[in-house]
Amino acid sequence: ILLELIMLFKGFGLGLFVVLAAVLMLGTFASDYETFLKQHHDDPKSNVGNNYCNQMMQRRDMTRPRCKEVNTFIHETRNRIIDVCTDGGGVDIGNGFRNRFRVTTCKMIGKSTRPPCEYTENVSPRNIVISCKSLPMHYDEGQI
Amino acid sequence: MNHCPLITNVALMNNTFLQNHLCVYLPTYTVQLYQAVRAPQRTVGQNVHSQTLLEEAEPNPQPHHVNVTAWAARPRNTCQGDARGPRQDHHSARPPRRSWETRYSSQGEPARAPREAPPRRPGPAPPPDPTRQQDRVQPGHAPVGNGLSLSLSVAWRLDDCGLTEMRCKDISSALQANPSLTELSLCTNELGDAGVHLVLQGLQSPTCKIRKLSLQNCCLTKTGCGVLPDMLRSMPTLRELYLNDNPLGDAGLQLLCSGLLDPQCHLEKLQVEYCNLTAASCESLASALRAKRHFKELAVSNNELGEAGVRVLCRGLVDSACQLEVLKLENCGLTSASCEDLCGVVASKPSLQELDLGDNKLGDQGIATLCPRLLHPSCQIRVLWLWDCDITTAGCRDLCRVLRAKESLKEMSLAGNALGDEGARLLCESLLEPACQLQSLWVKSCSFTAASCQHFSSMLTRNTCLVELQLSNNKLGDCGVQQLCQGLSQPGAALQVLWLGDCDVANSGCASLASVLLVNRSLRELDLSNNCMGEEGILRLMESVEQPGCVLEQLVLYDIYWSEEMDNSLRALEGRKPSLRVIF
Repeated sequence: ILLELIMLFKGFGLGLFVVLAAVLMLGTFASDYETFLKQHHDDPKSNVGNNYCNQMMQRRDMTRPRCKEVNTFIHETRNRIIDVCTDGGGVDIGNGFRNRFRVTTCKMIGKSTRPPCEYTENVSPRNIVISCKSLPMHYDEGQI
Repeated sequence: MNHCPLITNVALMNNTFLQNHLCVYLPTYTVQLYQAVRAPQRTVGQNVHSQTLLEEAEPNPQPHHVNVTAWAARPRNTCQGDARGPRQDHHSARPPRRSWETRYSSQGEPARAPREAPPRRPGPAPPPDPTRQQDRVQPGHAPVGNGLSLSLSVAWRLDDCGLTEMRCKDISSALQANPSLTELSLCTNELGDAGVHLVLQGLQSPTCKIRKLSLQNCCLTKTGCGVLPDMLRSMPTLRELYLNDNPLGDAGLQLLCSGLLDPQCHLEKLQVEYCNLTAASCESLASALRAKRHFKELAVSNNELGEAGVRVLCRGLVDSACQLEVLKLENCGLTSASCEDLCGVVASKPSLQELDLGDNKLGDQGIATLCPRLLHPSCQIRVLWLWDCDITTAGCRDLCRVLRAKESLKEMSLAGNALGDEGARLLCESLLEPACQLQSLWVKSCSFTAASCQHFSSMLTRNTCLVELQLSNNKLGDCGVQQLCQGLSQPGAALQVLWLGDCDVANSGCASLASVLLVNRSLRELDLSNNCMGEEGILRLMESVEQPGCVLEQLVLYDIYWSEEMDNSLRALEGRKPSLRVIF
């Protein structure tokens, strides 16, 4: 049922045509996929001033009524992310850097749990782990 | 003609459609938004004639506070200057795409997604074209004649609305047309120096009653600060000024301070966090503080002031006759030696209620210096933030002396300090002292293990003051959670908010919590984000929270793996029990 934890990945290749077809079939998964995009997709990376995380977490509604503690934004095209789902697993450990995703991981800083929420940013490119049901549904924040 | 609903507060945050429809038309939009809240099927963004709306509006004497939020990808040019903040983002230069959804909420209620997603717009909205009649702005033509009382508007919050310098002239006109406005917030709009100047000009009239002004993250630079002295002089009603996240620099701050020195300026609260300030700014601030007897709040966090700068600042505070209430110096490069200087401030300001010192390397030594002064009877400290301060068990011991004796202390954060299980024991012991009146304790990432839970458990059984406890990111495990549950299931338990995110809670931990939720009558909010339970655990929880007798109002479950069926089940649960909100 659920394609769990697909590690990341190769280039586009022939998967692109499959991907385009998959994108059109939003269907019943729309709301989860949209939630995924809202929480984890930001491409091109929004310019919101110098405190990216502080602003983006607020803009994408993850600070009310309480601050979400950890959240990663992916700065790649939707198609590239969807490819993770359709690739069916396997890890290509050949070209390390090219396989990395551009991300920003926002981690809430210590103080308290109330807004305004403040975050630190980690922008090191890395492999991402997401769970899919033909479309991305959940982002695994544990892979930091 | 109908009476219009009295809209006294307008909060149109994160709204892209404001780019095409300005503040001059704000009254129309406030009514339109009001209609949207009452009749959610109306799509925001339609150009509805204001007269029509007024005819539809029902009489309602209650003031109505409207919040509208949207998320969108928006273009933005780089600000000049570089205000300090977490690592710079390196955005690409690709053309922006726009897509947005709008969600509605009214004040006090959490924002909810509509049950059916609003229809997607068929493509990006066209940018405003000044040559088109409907896009052209008519400054000064506020539709006052339709019976809508502009003069009742007291607060405008237009944060993150995509407003730019182009719109500021009209904002300025709208401000002049609304002399009763007391609160204006324009955070996260690229106004730039010129835009800020225009906005400030709108607040210059003698009848202006502006009290609270927020221009955070508005691209104000040191050049823009040149207008501040004159502006501040002619805003005698201004009490609160928030300029965080602007690259003012030391030069800009100096200009600001020269404005503060003016006897016509009666500012009481100033925030200049993340403004690229250094030790050089401290003398300017100190001078300004010496002159302001009514100053109440200073926030300078996230500027590299350093030990020397903080010393100068503290001396200024000590010299000042002001009755300072709030001092925020987080991540300012304080050291343990700085605590001597802080002692001076605490001693001379019995009015001090909140002290935020997080993210400074104070160490146990600094805490040892500070605590005796905090213990002094004249100190009425209420909020103490010491997160990420390099405090260990020894420092915790000193702080517990304050905790045991200071009835005024209501909120304390020690998050990110390696207090250990011994620290937990000391804290719990202190929380049972009669003079301890702490209401909120944040001890996330404090190196607690399951062994600490027996102490928390017995404390929670007997403590009646503590309302909120954050234990996130401590390796409590299912065993620890089970022990906590023993305490929470006792009839005397009074805790209302419990954070157990990233605590290694698995299915059996969820089962323990599920049992507690059936008998506990105090817990209102529970956070279990980032834990490793499976669907079995979630289902047990759901069974309990669904019971009518369960008083839980909010269950936070970010970043937990489950199937799509679980998503649907949780949403259905919310439908069956409207008093409960499940956040994921």
